[in-house]
Amino acid sequence: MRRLWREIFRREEGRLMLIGLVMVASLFLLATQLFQIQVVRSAQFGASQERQSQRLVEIPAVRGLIYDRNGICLADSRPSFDAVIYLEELSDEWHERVRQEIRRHGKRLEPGRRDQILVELVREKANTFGRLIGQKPQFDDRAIRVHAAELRPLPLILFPDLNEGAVAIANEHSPLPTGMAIEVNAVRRYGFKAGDQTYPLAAHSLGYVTRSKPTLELDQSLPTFTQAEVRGVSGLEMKFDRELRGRTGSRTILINARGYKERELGVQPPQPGHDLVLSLDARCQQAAEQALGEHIGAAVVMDPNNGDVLALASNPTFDPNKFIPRIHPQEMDALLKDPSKPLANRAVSEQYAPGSTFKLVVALAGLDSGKLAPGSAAFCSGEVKVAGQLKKCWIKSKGGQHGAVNLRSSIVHSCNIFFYEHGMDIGMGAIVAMAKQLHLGERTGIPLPREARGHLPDMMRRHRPAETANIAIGQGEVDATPLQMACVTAAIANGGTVIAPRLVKSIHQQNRDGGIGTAVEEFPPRELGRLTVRPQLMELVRQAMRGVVQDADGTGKKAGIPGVEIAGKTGTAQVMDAQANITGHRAWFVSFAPYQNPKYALAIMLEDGDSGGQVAAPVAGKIYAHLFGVSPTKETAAAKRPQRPLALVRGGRH
Amino acid sequence: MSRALTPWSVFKHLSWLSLLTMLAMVGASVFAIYSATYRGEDVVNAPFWKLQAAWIGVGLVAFTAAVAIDYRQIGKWTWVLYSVCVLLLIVVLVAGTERYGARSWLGIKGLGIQPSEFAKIGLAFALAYYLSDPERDARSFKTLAVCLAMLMGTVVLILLEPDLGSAAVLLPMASAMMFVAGIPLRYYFGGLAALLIAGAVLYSNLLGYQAKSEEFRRTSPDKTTYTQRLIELKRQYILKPYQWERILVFMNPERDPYGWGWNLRQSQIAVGSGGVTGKGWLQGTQNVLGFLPRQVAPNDFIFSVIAEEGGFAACGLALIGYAVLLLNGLWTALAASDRLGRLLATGITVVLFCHVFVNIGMTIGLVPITGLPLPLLSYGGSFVLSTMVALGILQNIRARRTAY
Repeated sequence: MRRLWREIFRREEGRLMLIGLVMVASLFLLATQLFQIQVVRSAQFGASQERQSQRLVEIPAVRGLIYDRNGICLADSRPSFDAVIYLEELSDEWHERVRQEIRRHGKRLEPGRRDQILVELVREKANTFGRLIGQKPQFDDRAIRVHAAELRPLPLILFPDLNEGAVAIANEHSPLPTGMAIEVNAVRRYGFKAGDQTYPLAAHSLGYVTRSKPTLELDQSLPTFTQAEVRGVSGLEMKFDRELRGRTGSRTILINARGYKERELGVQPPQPGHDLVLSLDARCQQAAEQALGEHIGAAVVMDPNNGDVLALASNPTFDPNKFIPRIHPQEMDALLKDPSKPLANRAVSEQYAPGSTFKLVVALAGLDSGKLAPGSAAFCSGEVKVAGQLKKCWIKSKGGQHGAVNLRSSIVHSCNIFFYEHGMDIGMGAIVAMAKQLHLGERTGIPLPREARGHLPDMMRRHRPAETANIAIGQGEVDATPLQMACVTAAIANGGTVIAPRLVKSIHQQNRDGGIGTAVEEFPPRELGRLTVRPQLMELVRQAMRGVVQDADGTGKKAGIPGVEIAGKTGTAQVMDAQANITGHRAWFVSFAPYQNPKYALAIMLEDGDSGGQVAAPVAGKIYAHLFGVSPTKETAAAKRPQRPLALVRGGRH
Repeated sequence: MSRALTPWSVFKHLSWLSLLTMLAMVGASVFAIYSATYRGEDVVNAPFWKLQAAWIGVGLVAFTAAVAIDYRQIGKWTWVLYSVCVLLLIVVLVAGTERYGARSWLGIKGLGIQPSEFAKIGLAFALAYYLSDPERDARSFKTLAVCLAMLMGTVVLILLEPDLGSAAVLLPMASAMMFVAGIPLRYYFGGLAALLIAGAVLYSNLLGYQAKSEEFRRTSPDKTTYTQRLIELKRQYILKPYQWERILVFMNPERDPYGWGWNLRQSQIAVGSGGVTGKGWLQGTQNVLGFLPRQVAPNDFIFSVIAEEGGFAACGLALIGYAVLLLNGLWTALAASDRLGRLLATGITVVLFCHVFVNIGMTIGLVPITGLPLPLLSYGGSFVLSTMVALGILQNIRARRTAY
């Protein structure tokens, strides 16, 4: 071996061969590395190449519309004419100016000066256009710089939402300054046309959308320029955002190393969003909102036969159009800090002690368990001792007593003593069991965000008799939303079928020619269960409820309208602070009508009412007057306040 | 006996394989350069490909001359040749045109020549002529010293331009020629030791630079300031900041992918995204969209353009072409009729090899980025000319080899 090496090194030919060996080995190394990069890892480099030279530019889809049950549009999109500028089209002019300036000064430009030249150029164009239409441009220099650096393929909006006059002037004076164009964008609009006025209706149910700023998203397969994206952030707009939004399309563009668009590679057209058809009845909703007037509270109108929510009103309300395209931070702040909480959906997202309306549940529990006989009676002296604690009937504060009461009269007059005494007999277990049959204490599943669960007594712990007595009149460890109480009322109205509220009836394809397209999904009425209460016992409760409104001395007689038999139950819950001082009242009125074959079940809750019968019942009366086409009674007509467009209503506590 | 060939009969004895390979590659270079400077149909494209074609025409004339005139006749004029080369290298330092920070051009822009390209051939001739003298004792120290003096004469002048890459390829060329000529191995160990010491010094220098750059990176408010401060370091270290950065980026490609590491990264993306069959002529996005910077795409990074548009297939063809030329060069050295021809062929072949290996190696991340162009394919008048002359000399030696 050694000799072989010596021989190789000794001869010139040997040494040449060694050099040749090194060369061949090196060429082989190159070939191997090329194979590695071009064949084995080619896909990886191909992906890097695409990532750096291709961009997706999103094309927004047309957002679906929201209709009421009769095909009245509650939320649609209107065109907004924006004056925009495409920075890419300024590049020639820009670079020419940079060249000129370098020539003039004969040296390199200061850092940042190049960008400043672009900003000046954009300002000039914007000012030229602004003088034309007589407006001042709304943007700052920083916005231009950021846009130039990150969002170059997207248009930069200089004058948003031009009015018709400005658009007409711009069209006459074409061509516009280089790079500028008028573009049409869809802007969400909420409103219900009544006469010559347009009110935003059902703001809490519909919710609103926000428009995010355009961005460059890097964590996609290809870097993606998202256009100003419209996203539902509240109400149905949020819950059905995916359906309403449709699918954004995209253009794939090729960009060069300086970030300028070279050419378009392909287009994926957007798919328009679907339309929603609600169970809401716009006119009923309007009546409910107007009936609430300046009260702080909620009103729910349901069809007890199928669970359709005909109206879902919460007051004070707000104008969702203020959120379009983006709400001003100061206005948002004002809405959030407003003590009357205009953004809260009181019908669904807030829960309250149901007060005496809960006596209906207690009565059903007693009748069903047999602890309460149809003939059960009590004597109301205005007060009673429960486990050594003195409890009063509301009549005591009016300086009276109910005397001998039975099941019917105790509901008609809302006597507390009857329910204290019999409530303790019936027991917490039976009351909570009946509440559970009525699906209290759990979400109804209405497709709205932040639905409150309500609250029922915790059966894992023992309750003192005084607590049970309290529950029997709907105070203490029990809370419900107005929507839940409307469901309870609907179950009593229809004879014992517990039914889930339905807000959205169906989803439809968008029909560009107007009208509602073919349905892609329907939501049938949903039965949750049947009450175990026997029909003739249930009838006792229903008859008592009729007495509440129809009897001359019924607590809810102010809900009455001529010609229609209405059944209901009033409630006034005390609101107590931590020291058990009474700080206010929640006025309730639940009802259904007509008494025979009910078509409507209502729940009214007012946070600022002194008594259900005095304040909440008239609100229901106004809604019934609308529903049955009856002119309001004298009393309700007198109580009627001058109506104002709802857009201006900002709650009653200012 | 060696053949005595007239300037005309020599053409009957050419290696047609390597001649065709050369012609194919210079032909391909025109297309590759057209593509490397292509910016789109409706854009005025730079006319580099026309200039290259013109230089190839000049190169063919020079090639013919290099084949026709017996290299042994040229050998007699070696010292004149070498002196002219050195003189030109001095002239370029005084009167040359500065481009890309190096004063390496003579003449007007576009038509200028780079004396350093011809110095390679001049040095190869000088070493071959000196070492092939029958009276020379290859084992004596004097021989080594004279060789090193000739080498350093050119290397130092080229380094002054400064053109580190061109200077660096002269070292392996001279070493290989001296190795074949029989300079004892112990001197090589000495050379190796010197290289190791130089390497150690460079490495410690590199660490110093790296620490400094880290400090700047931490303390600079923005990238521009950081880069500016680095560039201001140019006198404190042996190499220039951009050279250190090329080495550091080579060692860690993630170091600065959008700055100093841009070319390497984009070149690798170009080569890799070409895949097996490439994207097609003029379809390579890396150069058309300017990711592969336009200043370097037609010359130093022409291989990336070819690799992207022609894929592994084209790269393989190019490698085979170079293998044909290099092996033919080696065979020429083996078969040469005298030591002058053998050593000359060795030197020329090694220089070609170094260019090929370093250039392709840098485009795929095997070697740090240097400014060495790719023989026959890169844009560059002097380089095309000198390469074709070199290949002509190889043909010359081959045609006049010993009869067998």
